[in-house]
Amino acid sequence: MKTRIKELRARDNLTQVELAQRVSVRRETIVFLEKGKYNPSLKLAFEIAKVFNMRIEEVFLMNS
Amino acid sequence: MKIKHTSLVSFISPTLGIMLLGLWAYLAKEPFNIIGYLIFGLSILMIGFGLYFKIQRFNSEKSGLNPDDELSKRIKEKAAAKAFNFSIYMWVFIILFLIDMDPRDKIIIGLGLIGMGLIFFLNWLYYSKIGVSDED
Repeated sequence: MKTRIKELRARDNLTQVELAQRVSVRRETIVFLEKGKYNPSLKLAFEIAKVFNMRIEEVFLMNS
Repeated sequence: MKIKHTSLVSFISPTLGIMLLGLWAYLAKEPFNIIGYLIFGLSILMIGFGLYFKIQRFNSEKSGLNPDDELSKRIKEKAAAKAFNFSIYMWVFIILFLIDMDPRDKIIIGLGLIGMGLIFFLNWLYYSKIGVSDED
């Protein structure tokens, strides 16, 4: 699964630590998410999308 | 999500572990043989790992981050599952191929292995019934 987290963080001027604090995860989790090495739970995906004020499918992109 | 706080008290057990290891090495009546060095080295390594993870956790909490998030829980579960699998095969190997082992010891280890399998099976039955939530 690909994500737009890095791009959206840059748009909103958020560091990985700040995003991690807002969704209550470790910074390493954000790193793994950005690299596409970890698929988040539905709850975490919702929370991240909420931070960026977007829908889940706009933040997380399924590989076809 | 609640964050458990790592207090400085939690650093006491690894510190005590290091002190006890040091005491054991100091009070040893004979110099260590290879097995002794191996045990000592592995113990230091494990305590070192424990300390490293505690310090990481402490720093995460200081930064306002959650050290026990879903990914860290999944990593722990995966590591535990692999360790369990590996342990079973390791002990079976030890029982079968360590020729000068006391037969009574082999029986005890074998019973332990059966116990491990039984505990695994009971847990599997239980979680198959009630399911597993993300919060676990």
